[in-house]
Amino acid sequence: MSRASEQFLAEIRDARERLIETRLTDTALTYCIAGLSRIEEALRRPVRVVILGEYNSGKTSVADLLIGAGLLPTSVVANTQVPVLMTYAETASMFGVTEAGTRIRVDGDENDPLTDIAFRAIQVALPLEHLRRLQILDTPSAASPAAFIEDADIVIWCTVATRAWTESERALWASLPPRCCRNALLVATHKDSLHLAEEVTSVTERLRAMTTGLFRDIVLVAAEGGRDDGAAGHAGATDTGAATLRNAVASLAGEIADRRTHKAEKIVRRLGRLTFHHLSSARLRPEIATLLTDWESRSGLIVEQLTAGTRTVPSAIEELLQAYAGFAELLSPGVILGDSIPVTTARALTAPLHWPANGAAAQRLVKTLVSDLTALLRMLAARSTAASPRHGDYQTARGILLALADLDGSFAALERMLGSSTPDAPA
Amino acid sequence: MNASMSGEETRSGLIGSRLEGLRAQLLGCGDVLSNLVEPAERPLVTDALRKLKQLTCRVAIVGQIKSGKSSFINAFVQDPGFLPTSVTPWTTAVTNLHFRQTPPGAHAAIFTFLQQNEWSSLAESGGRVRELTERLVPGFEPQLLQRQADQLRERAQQRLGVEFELLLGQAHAFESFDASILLQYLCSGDFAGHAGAAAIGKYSDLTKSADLYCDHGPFAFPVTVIDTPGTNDPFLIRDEITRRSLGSADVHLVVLTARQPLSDTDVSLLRIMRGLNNDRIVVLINRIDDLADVETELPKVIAYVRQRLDAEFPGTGIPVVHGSAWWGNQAIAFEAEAVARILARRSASHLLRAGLLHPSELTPAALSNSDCRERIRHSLWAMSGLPSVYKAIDMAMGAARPAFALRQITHAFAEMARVCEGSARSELEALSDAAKRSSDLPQDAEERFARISAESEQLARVTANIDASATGIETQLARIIHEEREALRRHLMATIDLHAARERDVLIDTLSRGRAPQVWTHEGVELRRALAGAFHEGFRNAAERLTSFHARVAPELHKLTASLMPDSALSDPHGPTLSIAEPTIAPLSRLVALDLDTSRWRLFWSRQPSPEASGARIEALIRAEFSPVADELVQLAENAFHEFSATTITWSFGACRNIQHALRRRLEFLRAEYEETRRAAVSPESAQRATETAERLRAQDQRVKDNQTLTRHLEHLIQYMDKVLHEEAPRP
Ligand SMILES: Nc1nc2c(ncn2[C@@H]2O[C@H](COP(=O)(O)OP(=O)(O)OP(=O)(O)O)[C@@H](O)[C@H]2O)c(=O)[nH]1
Ligand SMILES: Nc1nc2c(ncn2[C@@H]2O[C@H](COP(=O)(O)OP(=O)(O)OP(=O)(O)O)[C@@H](O)[C@H]2O)c(=O)[nH]1
Ligand SMILES: [Mg+2]
Ligand SMILES: [Mg+2]
Repeated sequence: MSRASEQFLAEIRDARERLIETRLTDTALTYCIAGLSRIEEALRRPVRVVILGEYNSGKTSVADLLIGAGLLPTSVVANTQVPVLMTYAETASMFGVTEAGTRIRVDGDENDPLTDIAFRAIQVALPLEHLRRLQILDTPSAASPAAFIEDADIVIWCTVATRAWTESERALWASLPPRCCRNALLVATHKDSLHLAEEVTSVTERLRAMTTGLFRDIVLVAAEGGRDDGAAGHAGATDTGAATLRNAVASLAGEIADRRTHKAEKIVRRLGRLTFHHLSSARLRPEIATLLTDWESRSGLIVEQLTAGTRTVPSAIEELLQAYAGFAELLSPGVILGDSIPVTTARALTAPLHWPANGAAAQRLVKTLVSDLTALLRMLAARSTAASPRHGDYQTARGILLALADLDGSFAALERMLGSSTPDAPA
Repeated sequence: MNASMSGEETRSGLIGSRLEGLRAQLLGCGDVLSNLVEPAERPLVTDALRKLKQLTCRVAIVGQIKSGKSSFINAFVQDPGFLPTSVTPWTTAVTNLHFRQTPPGAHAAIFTFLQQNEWSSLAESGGRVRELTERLVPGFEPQLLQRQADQLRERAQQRLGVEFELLLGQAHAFESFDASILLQYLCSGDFAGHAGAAAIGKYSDLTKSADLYCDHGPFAFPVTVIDTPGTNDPFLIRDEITRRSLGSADVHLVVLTARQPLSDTDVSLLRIMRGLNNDRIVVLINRIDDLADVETELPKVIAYVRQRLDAEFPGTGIPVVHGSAWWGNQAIAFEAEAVARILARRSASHLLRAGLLHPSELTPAALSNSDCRERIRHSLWAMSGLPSVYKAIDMAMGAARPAFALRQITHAFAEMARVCEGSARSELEALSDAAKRSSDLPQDAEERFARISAESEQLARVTANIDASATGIETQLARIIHEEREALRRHLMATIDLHAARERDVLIDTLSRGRAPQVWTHEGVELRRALAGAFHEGFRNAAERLTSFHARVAPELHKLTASLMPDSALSDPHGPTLSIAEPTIAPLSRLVALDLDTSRWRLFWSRQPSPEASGARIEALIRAEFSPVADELVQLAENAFHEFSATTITWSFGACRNIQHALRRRLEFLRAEYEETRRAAVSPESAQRATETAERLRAQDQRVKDNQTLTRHLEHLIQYMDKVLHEEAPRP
């Protein structure tokens, strides 16, 4: 996980804890806290590596290489029967998942009568540091590997270097949904069978040429390097490729963490904004609350007309801005007239865009506009309440939420458009 | 061949030595026979002799890419480094290695380029897969194939210049060749297209096949070993070249790799093979040296392969052998560095199994001791599996087409020899009668003349009769063949229709339950199996009808002939003369649109408006794709029927004609003798005539004796074949 991701995680954890400390009883806040902790959890979820390949291609050996412990049984004949998921736990344990979905603990001892049950999958939890960040799913070779990639973050396709990338492999890979290729690695095992450096080069070159666009990277490994005692002298002896593989996986995992963080940031912003509004609206003076309800029904009507086709996009926008100006003026007298906001706002909103013709896209656009304007109005309304704080905790919560919401640059821009900043937002 | 392995097994007999022994004896017999038959029947014997001389056994080595086919062939023919090998897909053309065969002209190597139309089909339209895809999802542009076709064209241009198309349809021939020539024509070349490797693979994209003439190798019989491009190559064009070549071999050796033995792809290859030559498949598990712990892992691998073979092909008992081409090659080449590497692997401990080495000798250090080196060498050869491959191939050859041909010729020769013997005997009798009659009275002579004339008339009548029935038989035969061909066609089409209709119903049912066939692909195997069964059955019925027709006609011919010559020694057909070898069913292995992979099917589904439409399209597709296959099968069967009528039935007629001709000759002799007697009555030179007659008698007596020896010899050969070759054919 990159530093930026970790920092973000720390930020939201901190925000959540501080929100809890406010001891406010507010449903919106409760949801927000729960949401934040779910996001934290999602961010902390280890990246799942799914290992696919034809039978005896070295899938289990590669899984072992990634965990870094000679734990899993491998064999010269078709061996792995069910998918095995390896995860982290403080103490080692093993579960079998039955056809019905029940998890049964097994101890892996051959005499354990439970080992005879036909499990659908096996889960192994191990106290290994690697597994804190990477979860590994070893799979049996199957005619339709698509079944295993549901929660996959990284997909590894194993092939044997001495016969790498055959038509049957290509066809299997092509049968997977295209999104698999985004974070996929092609791993050629049995690098130790290639004796000369030229051989490694020509195998790698062929793989590159044959799989253009299908994998992020190609790695050759001697997944069982230690096994063949006399391995000295083969091209794989100089470099088993294990480190290269781990680095490749780590770098993909890093990218994935960054992407996840990016996504989480967006969610947190929305969550912050929403909670802020709810929290504020619960404390609105009744007449202001009525104003907001009026705005909502008014803008709703405009959207409806647009949807029904009785109104064009430009006229809908025009109308919305008009209405907005009116409500904003009521909420915070002078804010519109004084700053001639409608003009700027209108320009800001219309200038760079070609309005799409009436249609789904146009409707979506107008709806976004409505929700942004609503947010602005709520902001104004909330500010007007803030003038008479009733509660220190409330102030704190508002501050935290605003900070979360503030992470959204566009939200800040909207605020700036209002020509003032929230007095109690942290710097 | 630069080195020869003097292992016990190779010394004890070259491959095909039994067949060669038989062939040599038959050639001798044929020479004798051609002096004994009537001149009119001589071409029949000469023709058989020509066939005998041309008889070869074609052994094709097939398998997935990189299973070690070319390496194995090098060890097999005991010439390491003969065919080029590599770690990336390498062999690009079907390579025929001819052993003990005379090349046409003085050429030792001939490389045949693709025809213009073959090239366009591959390089412009992307080959058959592309064509099939077009049929399945019209307008769908499979990028992969397009890219491959482009790549092919660009590379040819880059390697051979813009004029490269001038080579199409041509051939290059060399009086001698070496590795560097082979590299130019047979190898795919450097993948990255490095400038340094320009000569490698220069012509390979255009080369369809190669014919290399080698000397004896380990073979006693003329053998053609065929190296093929590996199957399961994502460069689909190569797969296509191999598929096209599969039908023509007599024995197939399927090379597996010990690490991924008998994958689904191997099984489907074997299915095709089995369709081709029921009993004549040998499976080799190569690269056992890749296993770390051979002692424990190899038995598991073998058990797995056998078990899967038994499950897929119950009751066929396909022989499975195992070994390492690397070990085999190094037993011959014995390159210090490579052997050291072999010894350094854990699998080397398997070499101890040969019983020639001590565990402590499995170190590179042992190579400095010459005695030890020799023992390592022999261990390598023994454990390379080649001795067992030799044995297995030799056995398979005994059950393959050349053996069948040898047997048929032996039977034909034997019958002819018997017939000749009968004729020679009666000629001898006539001669000795004549000798006794030398003092005949003129009126006796007149009486005899009357008899000769009567016999001549009868001969003419019978001959006319036989000729008439010959025409009748030919018409009947043509009718039977025609009827049977049509029956077979109907049978096959009905099988296809039934399957297509069932497939349609299942599909409509699935779709209307709202379940989209996500990964539905047509299970071509089932229909192919059904067609193979239908073909087998239909062919057997037809063959039975033809042979029983023959069995009915021949005695009639014999009866007619017997009226001329009571002890004609014609034996009514029986046993192997009454069988027709079932042709290969190679057309079943043709790639059809229904075999295309999931990604194309997905598109296909997305384009069908309703379950019913999908069903109807599938039904139509199955029928359209498989009816040409059925047509081809029917054609093959028809060829086999004609072949039967051209050999067996022709020989039956030949034997009868031989009797007629012998009889005519005898009558002519008698008539001449009669004239002579009349003349002799005028000018008495009886003393000289008596010597002449005695001389003739002695010669004819010798002829009868020779003939007798020949007949007996041929009968022995038949017994030998029935016993030795037949028993060895693997039986369920
Ligand atoms: N020498 C060598 N042996 C390897 C390598 N990778 C795997 N093997 C061996 O190859 C065999 C198959 O490996 P597995 O890891 O069990 O393969 P798999 O893909 O999990 O097989 P299934 O689960 O049966 O589909 C085992 O005997 C491994 O020890 C490698 O890089 N070098
Ligand atoms: N260790 C080991 N390597 C082998 C053996 N047989 C072949 N090889 C190696 O495997 C590689 C492929 O061998 P080839 O003979 O080119 O294989 P092929 O089946 O002819 O390949 P294509 O023609 O491309 O289909 C080469 O590097 C050989 O040296 C064997 O028994 N053991
Ligand atoms: Mg496994
Ligand atoms: Mg080859």
